[in-house]
Amino acid sequence: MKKVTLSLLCLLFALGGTYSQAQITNWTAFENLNDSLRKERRPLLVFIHTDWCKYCKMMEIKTFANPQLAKVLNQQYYCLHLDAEDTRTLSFLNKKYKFKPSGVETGVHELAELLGNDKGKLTYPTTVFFDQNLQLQGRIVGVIDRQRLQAIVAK
Amino acid sequence: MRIPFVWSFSFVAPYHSLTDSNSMNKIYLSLAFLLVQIVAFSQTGSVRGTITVKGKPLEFATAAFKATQYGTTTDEKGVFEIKNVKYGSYQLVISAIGYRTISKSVTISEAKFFQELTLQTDELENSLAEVVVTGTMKEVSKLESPVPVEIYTPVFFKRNPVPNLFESLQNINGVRPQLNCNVCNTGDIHINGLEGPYTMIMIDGMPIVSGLSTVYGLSGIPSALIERVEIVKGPASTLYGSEAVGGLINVITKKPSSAPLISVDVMGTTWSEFNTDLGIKFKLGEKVQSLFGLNYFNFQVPTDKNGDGFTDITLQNRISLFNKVSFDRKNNRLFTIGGRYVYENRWGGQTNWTPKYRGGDELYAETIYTKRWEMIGAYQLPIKEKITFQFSANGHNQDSFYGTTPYNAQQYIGFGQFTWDKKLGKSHDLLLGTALRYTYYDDNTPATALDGSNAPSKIALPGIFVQDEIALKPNHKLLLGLRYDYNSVHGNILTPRLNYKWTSTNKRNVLRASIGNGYRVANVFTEDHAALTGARKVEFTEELKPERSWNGNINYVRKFFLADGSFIGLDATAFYTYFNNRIIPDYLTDPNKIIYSNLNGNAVSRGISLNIDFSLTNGLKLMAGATAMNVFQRQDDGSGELVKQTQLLTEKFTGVWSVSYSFPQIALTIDYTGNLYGPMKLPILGPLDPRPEYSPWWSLQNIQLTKKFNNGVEIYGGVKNLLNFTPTRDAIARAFDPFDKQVTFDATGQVVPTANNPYALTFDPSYVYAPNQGIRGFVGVRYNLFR
Repeated sequence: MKKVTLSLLCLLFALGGTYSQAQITNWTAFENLNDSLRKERRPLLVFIHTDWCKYCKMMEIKTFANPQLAKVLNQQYYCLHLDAEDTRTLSFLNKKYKFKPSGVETGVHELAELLGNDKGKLTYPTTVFFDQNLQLQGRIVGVIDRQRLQAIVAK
Repeated sequence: MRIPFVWSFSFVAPYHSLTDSNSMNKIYLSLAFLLVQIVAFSQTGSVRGTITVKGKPLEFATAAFKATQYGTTTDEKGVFEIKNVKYGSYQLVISAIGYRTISKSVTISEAKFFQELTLQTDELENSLAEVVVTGTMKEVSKLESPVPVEIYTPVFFKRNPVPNLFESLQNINGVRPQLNCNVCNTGDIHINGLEGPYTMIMIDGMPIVSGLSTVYGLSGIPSALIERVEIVKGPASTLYGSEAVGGLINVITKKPSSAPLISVDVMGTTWSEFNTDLGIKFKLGEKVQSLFGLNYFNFQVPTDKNGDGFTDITLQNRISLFNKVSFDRKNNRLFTIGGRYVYENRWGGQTNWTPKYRGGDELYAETIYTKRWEMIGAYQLPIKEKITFQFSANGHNQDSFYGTTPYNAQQYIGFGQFTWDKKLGKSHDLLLGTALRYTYYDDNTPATALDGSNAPSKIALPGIFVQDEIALKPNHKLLLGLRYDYNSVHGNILTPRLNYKWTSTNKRNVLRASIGNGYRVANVFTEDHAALTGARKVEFTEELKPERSWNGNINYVRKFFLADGSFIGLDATAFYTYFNNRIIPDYLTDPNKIIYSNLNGNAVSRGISLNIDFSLTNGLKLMAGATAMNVFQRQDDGSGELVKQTQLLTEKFTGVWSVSYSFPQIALTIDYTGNLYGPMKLPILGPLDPRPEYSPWWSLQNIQLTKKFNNGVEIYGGVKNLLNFTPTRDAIARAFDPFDKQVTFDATGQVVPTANNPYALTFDPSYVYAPNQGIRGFVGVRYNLFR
């Protein structure tokens, strides 16, 4: 049985080749957003996810890691990456938001709740858009594929 | 400003609704106008203004003319300027996230083509106001954890809807809700071959500390209130006690922000089983949120399709109520309390049994009334350091008869625990804690009797524990834990744990290893229902010592994201557990007895499991898992030789799968789920027993269609046990003579073969490997109302 396990693990490692990394979306840290905005006003994209949500992971890899799309996003947008279960206090547009526990080791971040709540529901992933006047434009719940996001940012 | 609504997605929230619905800061405005005339060059003018909060400039506020394209934002000094505005009357709207939107009429004309405004605001304190940061909040996120956590969302469990979470777990590889009794259909949860007591059950991270039947811990939470279920297989953190070596099941309920206001789920089957789930979210006050859940299950039609004279499945009437209350506190400190009450009346036995035969020897039945209450909670102390007090209490009352054998038990458990979370430097995450558990247990069996009088068991279990999560390098993490408990009956208990995790730089490969030991003091009556069936006499050959186990796990997770957007996840685990003092029920030495003793020798449970998870972009989802394991004992045969024996009622192979396909155009989903079990060794009654010693390969398969409607209604229906698999009708030995009235025993108590009993059997319901419930249809409706 040990041999089987070992060869199974070897097989999995072998399958796990590395992907070539071209240009991917740069995530602006929340603490740097103010400085970036002072330099240049741009529309914002806030990607709300959790680390246990595999569709979020899928979107990160299939959408945000796409070189053409990433190029456009990096040039025209400030993209923010918000883990809805981040326990740190985050500052967004000069206001501070905190993690709100609902049990031991579980809870949701106030900022995710504020930005992502759609008809009383917070679902992952949710992508929130602001225009360059920092006005909320809308949110899309669920995975956005590359073509759709490209169409959105092109407008 | 008119927000250009140009994108093709479906929902654009008006800015006001966002701010208002979250009751954010109100700005008290006092406006002061300053008009400055400047020469106009054309038919346009401009507006300049300063926006302040408490005299300080408000940066990043939006200033815009409603329903136009004119708009800008304020700079660091709170100043905005909208230029080149055509003459006209406008509604100037000032908004900022976290502040109430304000507006002001502005007219730009030849006479007033430049306007300067100063807007002063005051801020009211509310939950989103700036507060002093404690800087001590620092839980690690789940996937960062060195302990392997599997996540299952309600979507997963809905693929094969069942009345409670306990049965849902059959859909998870390596987790098996095991049926222990053919007549009363009670069971426990086995994780990778380890019995129920080794598994810790928690709600929102708060442990339900329980000895008597943890099964009830998973009932009464409607699936609409469940955000996800986290499952750890193998040694969990020492935080969860010295028993949680098999694994833990953590039910995470929805946050107030994501739970539906009302959810209803009603289901019925062609076997006349009826199940209702109800969930309600409500506010008990400005700062108190409440989630309420109700589950009612009813099955009242004695059904005997296999013709053995016994009910195929146990009749049940169960109601359970759950309520969790969370309080909003300063600095978002945690305070939450949950409570649950379960009442259940179940019986199984001869189909013409009625309650008037309860306890008598005319007709056989196993009848159990259960009353159970639980309270769990967590409170973070209002100090700078992050110290959390967790508490739990429960009472369990069982009033039952197994044939003519009464079993009445009461159990009360009180539990309290302080944990202190502290980060030391950059790489150490320290957790210190102390816990006390008090267990009171009383029943009518010799287990709680001393010299002929009743002596309830009272056990105090104080303990301390320390755990350090060390970030060795960005890709390497180590979790070290040590726990010391003092059991007032059995003395010192030391349980060390070690978990290690490696993540590849691209985060698609994760390797984890864990090792730890566990111990448990078994109460065979509360854990083993077979001990209670009047069919066999229970015998202890010695004072049982605590069972000790060492468990090691290796887990590897690999994620693939294919070019077309599909996802493939692989999760492989190898596990090994070595037991000392294993408490083994011996069914075989004497068919009329179950003899409990500590194993003189050792026992091993080892195996590998593999899970595969496919999500294709075309709407096909597939999850499949398989576990191969070998559970055996090496017992001293009396001469010092260790003889290897396969464990009874434990299969060597299990497989589980679910395949789903969605047709988004018509909002229809089809699910096909199933289980496959390999042969397991069964307790036969002596050498003449004609029943096979091993169960056959068997499989349960189900199919379901779900149609969603836009108004929150979902209708589902399908067929369970498509293959109509049921065990043979002789699974209950001598079902026609449940009180052994026609059995002849010799002087030593052994059964003598007679014409009426050629195989020398006695009544025995412990030969059980699969539910007696054949093919059946089901239909249900769900409704979720979100606000």
